[in-house]
Amino acid sequence: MVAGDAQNLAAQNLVAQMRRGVLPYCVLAMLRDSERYGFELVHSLGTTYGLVTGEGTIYPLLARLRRQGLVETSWRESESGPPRRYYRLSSGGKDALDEFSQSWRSLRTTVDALLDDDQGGLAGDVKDSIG
Amino acid sequence: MVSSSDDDLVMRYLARLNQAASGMPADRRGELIEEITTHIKEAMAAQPAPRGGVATVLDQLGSPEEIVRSAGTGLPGTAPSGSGDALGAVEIIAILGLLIGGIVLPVVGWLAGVVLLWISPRWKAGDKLLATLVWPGGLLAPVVAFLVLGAAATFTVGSVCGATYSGSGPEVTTQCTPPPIPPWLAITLAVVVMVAAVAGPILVAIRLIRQARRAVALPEEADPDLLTTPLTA
Repeated sequence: MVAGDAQNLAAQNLVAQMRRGVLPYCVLAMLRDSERYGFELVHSLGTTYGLVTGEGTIYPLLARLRRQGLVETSWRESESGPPRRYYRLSSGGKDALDEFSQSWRSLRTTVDALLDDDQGGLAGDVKDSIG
Repeated sequence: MVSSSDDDLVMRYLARLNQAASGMPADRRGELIEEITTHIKEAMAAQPAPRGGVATVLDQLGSPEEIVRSAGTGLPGTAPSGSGDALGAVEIIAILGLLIGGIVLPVVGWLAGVVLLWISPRWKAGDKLLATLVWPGGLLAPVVAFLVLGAAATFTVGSVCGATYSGSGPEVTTQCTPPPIPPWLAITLAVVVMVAAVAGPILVAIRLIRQARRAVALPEEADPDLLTTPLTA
């Protein structure tokens, strides 16, 4: 019971870590086709996509992406309230996104293949040869 | 429509954020607070208005502490000190106090252990409660139990015999009332009590040691600059 709980915790931690790891690239991906303003980005990633538990935690990430030169921002007036900060990909950001995209697809393919194998490909072969 | 109690909620939230961000460089702190404030305004101005109003918006934002953590600055003074494995001095003395403090320095020694137990950040409240209740006095409890059982034994295990004189003549009848508890049962109970009295504090101490040695969960580390480390490293 204790071991099981510890393992569940470890699994949850891993998923949380993976989410945190891909989050910057998800931000970049959302900016690939069009620029978006802060609230829009944050609300999508947090509530629509459920990638973070607190939407507020994305703002420091946006600030970091800005400092690293991967996104650029501009202020636009909006009719319905205060000026909005719009984010768009910089060329460096586009490169980073492309590179991540390749690595991710390659990793995903490998892991998927291993997981599918588990369903009775490899293991099934072993069983067949024994039984 | 924003009511004044909504304003209160927001003001308190922003105050907490300001407090939590006190370790950040001033310009970043100001920027973060401004962005969060704008976020709240945007969210409340959105069509349709969020169900649950300001409370929902703040809920979705997450706690101010969480937000500041993700900015990569540790919260001042709240991280437990020390590495995960070594027991701190507080923990060691607490456990010793709980176990043998009652014997070495009756009452006071054990109480000292309890105080240190509750001060230490290493244990959850449930474990602290367990260690306080099992058993008060630590290993002094079995000693007390032994004495109490010993005293009780004379009343319960032996037969009580009395001599009565019958009315006529010099006859003496001795009447023995059987012990209220059969000896075998009394001895069994005594053994059970003693074992529990001794095992209780010892098992609890073992649990405390193991819990304290588990790697202390550090506050969420700041994401390393993932975008500047090579992806294929």
